[in-house]
This record gives sequence, C-alpha cells and structure tokens, in this order.
Amino acid sequence: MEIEIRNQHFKLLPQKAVFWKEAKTLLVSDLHLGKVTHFRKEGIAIPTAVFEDNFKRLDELILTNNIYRIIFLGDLFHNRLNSEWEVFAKWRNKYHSVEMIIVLGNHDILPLRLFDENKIIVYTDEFREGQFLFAHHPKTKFENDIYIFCGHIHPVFCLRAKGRQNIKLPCFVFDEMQAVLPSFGIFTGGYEMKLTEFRKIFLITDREIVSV
Amino acid sequence: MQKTKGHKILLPWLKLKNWKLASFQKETIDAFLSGKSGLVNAPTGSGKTYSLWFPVLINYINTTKEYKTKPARGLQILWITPLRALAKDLQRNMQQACDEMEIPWQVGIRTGDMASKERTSQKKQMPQSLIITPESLHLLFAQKNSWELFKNIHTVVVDEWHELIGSKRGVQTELALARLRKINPQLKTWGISATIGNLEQAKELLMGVNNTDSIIIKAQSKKKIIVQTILPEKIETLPWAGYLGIKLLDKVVEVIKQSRTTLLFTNTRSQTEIWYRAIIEKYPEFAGIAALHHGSLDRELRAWVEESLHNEKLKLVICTSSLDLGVDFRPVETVIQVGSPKSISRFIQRAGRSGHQPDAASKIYFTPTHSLELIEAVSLREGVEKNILEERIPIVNAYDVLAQWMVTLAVGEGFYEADLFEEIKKTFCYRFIERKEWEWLLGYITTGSSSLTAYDEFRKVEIENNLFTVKDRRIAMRHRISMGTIVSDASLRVKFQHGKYLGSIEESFIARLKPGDVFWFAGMSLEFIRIREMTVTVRKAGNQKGVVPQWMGGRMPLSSKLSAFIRERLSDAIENPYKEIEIKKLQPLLELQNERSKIPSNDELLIEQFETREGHHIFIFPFEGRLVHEGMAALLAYRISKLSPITFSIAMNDYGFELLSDQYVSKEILVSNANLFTTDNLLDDINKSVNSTEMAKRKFREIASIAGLIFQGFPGKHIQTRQLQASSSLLFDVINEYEKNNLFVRQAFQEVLDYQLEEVRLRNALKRITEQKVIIKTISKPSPLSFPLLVDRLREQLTSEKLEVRVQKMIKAYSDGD
Repeated sequence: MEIEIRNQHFKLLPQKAVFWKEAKTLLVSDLHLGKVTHFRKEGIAIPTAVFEDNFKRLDELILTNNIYRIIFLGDLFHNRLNSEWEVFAKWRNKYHSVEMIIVLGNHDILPLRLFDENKIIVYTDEFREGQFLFAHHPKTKFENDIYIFCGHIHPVFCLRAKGRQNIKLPCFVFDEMQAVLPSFGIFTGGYEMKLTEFRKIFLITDREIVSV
Repeated sequence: MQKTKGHKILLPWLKLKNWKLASFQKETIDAFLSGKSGLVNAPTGSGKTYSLWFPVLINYINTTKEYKTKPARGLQILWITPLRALAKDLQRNMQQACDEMEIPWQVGIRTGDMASKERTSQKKQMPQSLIITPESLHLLFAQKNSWELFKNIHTVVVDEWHELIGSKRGVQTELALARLRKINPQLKTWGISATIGNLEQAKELLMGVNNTDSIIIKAQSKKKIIVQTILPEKIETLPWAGYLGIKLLDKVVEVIKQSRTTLLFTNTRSQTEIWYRAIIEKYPEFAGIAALHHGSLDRELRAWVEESLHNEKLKLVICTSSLDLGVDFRPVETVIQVGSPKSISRFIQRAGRSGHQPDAASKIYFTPTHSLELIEAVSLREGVEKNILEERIPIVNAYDVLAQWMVTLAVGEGFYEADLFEEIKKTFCYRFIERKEWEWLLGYITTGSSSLTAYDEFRKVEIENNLFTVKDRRIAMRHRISMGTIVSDASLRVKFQHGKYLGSIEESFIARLKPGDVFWFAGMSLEFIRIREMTVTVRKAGNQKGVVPQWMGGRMPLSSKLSAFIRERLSDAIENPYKEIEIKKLQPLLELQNERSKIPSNDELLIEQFETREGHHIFIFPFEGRLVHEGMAALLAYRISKLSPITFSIAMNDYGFELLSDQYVSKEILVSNANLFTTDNLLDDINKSVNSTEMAKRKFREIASIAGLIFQGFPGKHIQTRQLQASSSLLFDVINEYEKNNLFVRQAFQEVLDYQLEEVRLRNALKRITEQKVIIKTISKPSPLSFPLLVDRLREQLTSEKLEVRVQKMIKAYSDGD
C-alpha cells in the first residue's frame, strides 16, 4: 500500500511501520521497549518472545528496504532502564550506518546520554523536514501545508461481523493534515478509532495492509 | 451413647437448655469420638453446627485432666466457612456453649474484614478454635511460622461444603486440607453439606484421595415442602419473559401480608431493585419494614439486613442467591420465588429458609414471570416430591489456583518441590496432574518461562538449597494483597457525598449515565454526581423514576434435571390437560401451540419454520438450557453452512433457539438429524463454529488474576503500582500468540468447553436428539414457544419501554383476530 502526500511517497508496511521512499527513511512509533522486562522484573511472566519479536521485525524492515535513516516517533522505551536497553543498543550498533532520530514521547524518561552514546539524535518536541513534521503527540492545530506524522494513541480499528464476532486490528490513520502510526510494540494495547469523512484507515492483518 | 466424662458435662447442660439431641447429632458425636472423619448431611437450622461442636468439646474434656483451668494453648480446631456473614453467628453459638460449660476456650474469627486489633492479638496468641474463610486460611499459610501455627490442629470442619464444591474456593480448601494433613497425618476432617446429587463425591473431595475410613451421616428430614404457584387471572397466549411477574404484584403482596416475615427471591440483582421499587410505590406502608439484599450492596448494609431479619424487625426482604445460605433466619415464615430458580436443588434450599418451627412445613410460592414458566412450576413440584437433586461438579486441574498456592507457600515457609508435588496429588482436583505440567508451573513461578533456567531479570520465587522461597518483600506483599482480591468485572463503588458506601455497580452501566441522571440502586433513587478513581458519588434524588442497573452474570441456565422434567411435563400435558392446576391454566396457550404448530412429545424434537420480513426463521426446541442452546445453535449454523454458504443470526432461551437467515433452509436438510446433530467431530466443529478464542479471553481474566499475571493494585490505598497493570485481553493475546504451551491459556479454553459450552451436556443432548423423531412445522404466525425467542432478539436492541410497545404491537399483529 502506497500513499502520496505533498508529492512524496509513503509505503505502509505490515510490520507496522512507514517507509518514506524519497528520503529512504523508516518511520516507527511507540516501541515501548522494556515494558515486558519491567513486568518480568516484578514477577509477572510475560513471555520474552514478545519483545524479541520487535527486533525480528526491525531486522526484516532494514533488510528488505533500502533504508538510510529511521525516525522513532516517541515512546521508544517504556519506563526506567532495564536489560532490554542493552538488547536495543546491540541492535542499533549492528546497523551503524543507518542514521537514527528520536522525537521524545511521554514515556521516554531515560537519561539523554544513553541516546548520545548510541548515536541517536534527540529532538525533545518535534522534528521538521521540508513540508513534513514528525512528533509524538497528535496535533490539533495545523500550519499551512505542513503534514504531520505522529503516534502516541496506538490506533486500532474494530471490524464487526455478524454473529457478534469482531476483531480488533492495529491500523494506520490518515487524516487531511496528519497521519497516526500504529504502535510498533506488541504488548501495548490500543485505542479504538472511528472512521470519519476525510479519514482513511488502513488495517494491518498478518502480512497485509487493507484499506477500510 | 457412651457416658464419658465429657458426656456427663454436656448432657446436664442440654437438659438445662431444654434441648434434645437429634439422632443424626448422636450418630455424629459417636462417629467423631471413635476417631472417624466424615460428612454430615443436614439442612440449615437443624443444629448441624452443634453435631460437630459437641464432640469436639467432649473430646477436649475427656483428654484434658484439669479442663476448667489448664486448657492447651494454640490453635486446635479450624472451622472453615464460605461466607464471612456466617462467621459471627457461628462464633456466638460456639463461644456460648464453651462459656456455659465452663470450658475456658476462645473461639476466634479470621476473615477479610476483621479489625486489625483482633489480628494483632491473634498474632500473640491464637484462640483454640478459629472460624475462617478459605482465602484467609491461605493467607495464614503465607506467614513465616505457619507450620508452628498449625501443628496442633487435630480437627477441621468445613461448613456449607456444598457451596464450595465447583468453585475455585473449594479447590483452595482442598489444597489447605492436604497441607494440614501433611502437618498432622492424624487430622480429622469433617464436612457439613446440604443435600446435593453427588454427596459421596463431595465426601471424597473433602477427604482427599486414598482415604478409606470416613462416613456420611444423614439427618432424617421429615420436613415437608409445599409448592404453591401464584396463578395469574389470565395468561397471555403469546408469552414473553418479564411481562408477567410484576403484574402479579397484588397477589404477591397478599401472601406477604399474611405472614410475619417473607423472603422474596429473584434471579437477578436488577430484579430485586425493580420489585422493591414496585412494592414501595404501590404499598408505601412497606417502607421501613421491607429491605433489599444482594451481592452488590455494601457489606455493612447487608449485615444490617441480616441482623434485622434475625431480630424480626423486617416483614419482607427481597433478595438474590445472596441469602441462599447463611444465618438461620428463624422468623422467616414464607418464601416466594419469582421466576424460574433454574435448578431443583436451589429451589429446595430456598424453600428450606422458611418454617423453622418444629413440624412446620416449608412453604414456597412460585411466581412465574411468563406463562411458560407455569410448566416449570409443575416440574419443580414433581422434582421436589421425588427429591431429585442436581450435582455439584467439582473443578479439576485448576492451574491458576495451584500457581497461586505455590507462591503462597513460597512467601510463607517455602517448599520442596518433590514433597509438594506428592502432597497436591492427594487432592481430588490435582490427582491426575502430570509431572511436566508441574514442571511448567515451577518454571512459571521461578524464571517466568517453561524451564527452570533463568536468563533474564525475572524475579518471583527463588530456589535456595532446593527450597522454593520468596525473598523480595515487595513481591511477597503484592502476592498477599492480590490473593484476597475478588475477581469481578471492573466495578465501581457507589457512595454518598458525605462518605457512606452503598455498594458496587458495573462500569458499563455508569458509563451510560451523565451527571444529573437518576438511577435506582439499594432501594433508593439516586442522582449521579460524578465518578472519580473507581468511586461513583451520588446524592438522594426525590421521587424521580430512574433506570435500574443491570449486573453482569447471574443468568443461570436451566439445569439438566429440571429440563428433563419440563420435557416430560409438556409431553404429559397432551394426555392429562387437567391434572395440574398450572397446566389447566395454560390450556389456551397449549391449544394455540397445537393449532399453529405442535406440542412435542418426549420422543420428538420440534422444529418450526417461519418467514417474516426479517427473513427465514428456524426455531428448534431441545429444552436444554440456554448455554447448551447457544453452543448447539452455533454448531448447527456451522454445519448447515458447510452444505451451502449461508449465514445466520442466533437467539436462544432456556427452551430453544432460533436461527435466522435471509435464505431458506429446506426441510430435507433439517430432518436429517443424524447428520446435523451428530456427535462425530464435535470438538472440531465447535471450535470452528464459535469464537472460542473470544470466549477464552473472557475466562482468562479470572485465571490471570488468580495466577498473578494481573496485579489489581492496592484496594483503597494510593500506592503507586508503577504501570504493572495490563488488560487481561492484551495479556491473553500476547501469551496466546507467543507461548504456545502456556497452561493458563489452555485452562481458559478448557473452562470455555466445561462451563461456557457445557460440552458434556451438549454431547448428551445431541445423542438424545439423534434418537428422537424430528417434527418440522411450517407456521404462518409465531407459536407460543417461538414468540419469546422473537422478542428476545429485540431485547438487545431496544430499551425496556420501547420493547414493551413493540411487543404489544407484535402480539396484536399475531393474535388470532388479525
């Protein structure tokens, strides 16, 4: 699935990320790394395979697309420091040549030096490039022609079928002036979105992107 | 009876009180003193407590030289009760007997709501006898000195054991008993149970496996139960659930007025509120002498109602199953049951709440809520006469309770896994647990994975010199707190502005209200002010009418015993239309059923086909209870759709179900019951036909909470839980996807089969149907049997006022005059 905005092309990927073709940039939001380990440290046994899957998908993305840069749209790390950061740091250094940028989210409370040490450029509020703005929180006020990419709300869409069967799926939400990315992390929950007149919703099924 | 030293103290005391021992009490005393364990089967109010308390005291006197002055210290008797409300009454009676016989014993209480002062004094010195709930008993095992605490216990009595069977609290009791037997292999175990269909099994559960020397002692109950139906003047030939009950209000009040004290049982908490409001509105003289009692009301309010009932201050109490067991309410003269009680046992138990005077018969009035329930009235009467009782099916392999228990012991004194494995295999619940399941659980509590090899920061139970133990104080504290929390749908506490608590209400109901809206709760009309931090603040709202909240759950399906009777009675109604007064009353309806369709006899399965603007309806009437019908409807829908693509929407009640589609299904397909109703490939077809994942997800909520995967926070305390809360459905999703061998997810799916779909019963019902003759009737107007199903489907879409209007229109349209 590909979308054109301001003459630029954005590919929606089933791994729950967006690839900005012209800038060879991958957009990833709300990884919430460390959450699984945070629970496990307190004796709540979430399977570790859950966070391992994050890195599996990140690897997949980097290997199958020609990526120069990754922009993390906030909530990269869930809480205080734990061993999952080391896994992340190791992963980051595996892709030394890829530029990485983070726009901080409300969960990102780690000391900033940790980002420095791992060559991740930090923007505390937002990051602007050309006609695009990258932020964690969705905006309610818009400037002329500036299109926003953000995360934070973990959008999901509920498909309702007969017989009271319904499925909730993570989704991309594209409004006129801004797009909300699904949360990349798995153990994160979701907020149900409604379809409105000028809104496009793209569902993420196992290996596919489907327009509602 | 022997004449020991103890007997010589007891008998004069009894004489003083002018009490005579009943023969089951004598029998129990003898059996107890001869060293046996056993189960006493006796109803409430028969002196069942004394049948075991007396021999305990006799035994004490016989074995203690200077029993008046030098009692042994420390805990010797545990008295387990399912209900906190029972504890106070028990304690009073037991302590009084001690005091009057000059036995210097303390009888203490240990439940969730005791004062901390008492808890501290118990820490210094335990009483000789302790009344305790299963949860609180488990909490004692989470103490570091539990072995010391329990080492002198020689007798455990489990009161109202039938109530615990089939619940996870029953499993908790089994585990605690196994532990106590390990501490003292000579432990005597006694249970007290009302009559249930599987008493022998109830005893087996209590004693644990490998037990031989135990007996059942039955009280000879001569008590007669009279069942009388409150008959409507006129019945609707097109019945629908809910319209009738309240119309019988005047007749019900007439009955209430005739007796000193009445208990009125309804099936749901909402119904109690509706009845209370209706009575107070029409008969204001009941204000002050009528009260409400249901599980969502604050404990203090309930305690007040129980106390007032006891002291004869109330003329009427409207209640749910919340008063099914408990304190013996001597003043109660009359019991009224509104709507089907769904099971014969429950009906008998409720009837037994009245008529405590010697030789008084228990009288129970049955108030139907729709005309078809008149058949149930006859069935209930027959069931009562024949003393047919449902079984309580015990729970097996509850991995969640076991995981909790393992952590509890680790928080306490710690355990050695091989010993504990051997110990729990002696319980009925875990007798078939496999070694590899046990190892998975050990991994789960120590490394948070299926193996015992640690590879990350997971921390809960540690292994030190083979001893499984919890060292982290925070983990220990969190475990103790979460052990006691009761699992329920997110419920909010309701309180007045000045702080008085009224009870709890479900979030889904409050979510529909705006500030200023009025609703009806705890028998009062209340104005909704605000909601903050799980608390709903309200104020009294004059006399405005308000909506009544719906609580989840409480919709019990018809028991298989009762449904079998209903099929028979219906069949019999063809041949003997005037034998029973209820059936006679029902004649217009039965005639209409015969005219438009047919009354199925016992060896027939009735299917009706009907076309409306909505589409093609298929009504099928197995009379097996709504849960079985839900599963069967989905199964049939799936099997028909395999023949040719078709989709159905489904509705069901206790008598049958409806499949609605925009396509016609031919008679040939329906009549081939051997294929549609076969039990071949049943499990496979069920899994393909129902959303079992969605159902399992709902079951998982309770499991995850018991197993410690969900931490519900510190109740009433504002301690930060540091983002340890994740919704159970999210947990279910990730675990189901990423950990295939997770026992708790497996348990959730098994619970769906066992309790949601009632797979065993579904299978039996299908077998019966394949032997029946299928009768297919094409009808042009809905029959009395199918009409309630048509209405039920509307019920979910409409408010009750709109529904009333719609249904009246339908009745008009489908009446004969049309």
